[in-house]
Amino acid sequence: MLLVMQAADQRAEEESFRTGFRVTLPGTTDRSFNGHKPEYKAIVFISPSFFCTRPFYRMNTALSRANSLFAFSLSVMAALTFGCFITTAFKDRRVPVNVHVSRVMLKNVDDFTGPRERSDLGFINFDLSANLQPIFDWNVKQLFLYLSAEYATKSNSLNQVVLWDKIVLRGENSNLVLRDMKSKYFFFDDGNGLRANKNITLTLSWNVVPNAGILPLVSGTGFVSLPFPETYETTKSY
Amino acid sequence: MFSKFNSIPTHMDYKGQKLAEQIFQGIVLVSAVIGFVYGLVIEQFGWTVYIVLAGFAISCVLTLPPWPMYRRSPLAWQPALPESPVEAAPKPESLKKKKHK
Repeated sequence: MLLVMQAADQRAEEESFRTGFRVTLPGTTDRSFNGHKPEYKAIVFISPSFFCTRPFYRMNTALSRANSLFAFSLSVMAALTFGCFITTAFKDRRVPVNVHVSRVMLKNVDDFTGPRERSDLGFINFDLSANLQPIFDWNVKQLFLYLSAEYATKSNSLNQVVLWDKIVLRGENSNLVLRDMKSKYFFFDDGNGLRANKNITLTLSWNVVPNAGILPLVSGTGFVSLPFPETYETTKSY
Repeated sequence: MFSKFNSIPTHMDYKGQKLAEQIFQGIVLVSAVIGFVYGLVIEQFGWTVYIVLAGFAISCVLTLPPWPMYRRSPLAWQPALPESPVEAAPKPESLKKKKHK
């Protein structure tokens, strides 16, 4: 709020000096507009605290203390979270993994999701064992495990297909021993690259989901490479 | 009716404000260190958060209300002058001169 105070009359000036407002007293004339230019004495800023002084515009109230306390605690919490991240940021989260493939089957079927031609579809049964306990620390909420197959074909130098995945929450049994698992997802090639492929590598990898910080993607040490059969299985119904 | 509320002291003096700030900073920092070490040892970051929240709650209780311990050094104000009419009130020198012209 801005008021322009003008010197109009002696009393008015005194009154203005006292109150901060421009005042024209009764019985006098405001001569400043009468013929000559008004003489600006001062520009008076009136802060909002003029209108409500107690208790909202005091410097230190319970509310302002609560504000600074909350802000300080939040900063401390942020620093602790960063500390949690930094204590685990350089940890090696690789563990040995045992993958063993017990059965491989290859079919040549219509791929309705893809090019609508007959494509190679692999079926793999596998055993998996890994002790994931060393991965878990105070900055790990869960692991997202996935088993992927990698292979090269004539059309693509690298194909990656996720066959199976699993979420291991913190506090669950983290010593993984799985026998004769079927893959969760179809192992489709986008052509006929699976038949007689000599080198299809299965790897278990995991995303480490942290409380704070980066989301590392780790590959387990230990993989299995296997050749695929030369012939398709023919089934009467599937 | 409001005089009853107005008579409740709500302020802290300046030393009290400083003391309150030091107290809550100390409590929150100490609880942060304890929580960090404890969480690191038992490998549960949740406990770190809980301990810091406990420190926050304790400092809320200790420093938000204006307890009497924060009012121990009141400001020494000048004694109040007796009420007098506006004309008799002391004026700035320049105004006074003009008035007696």
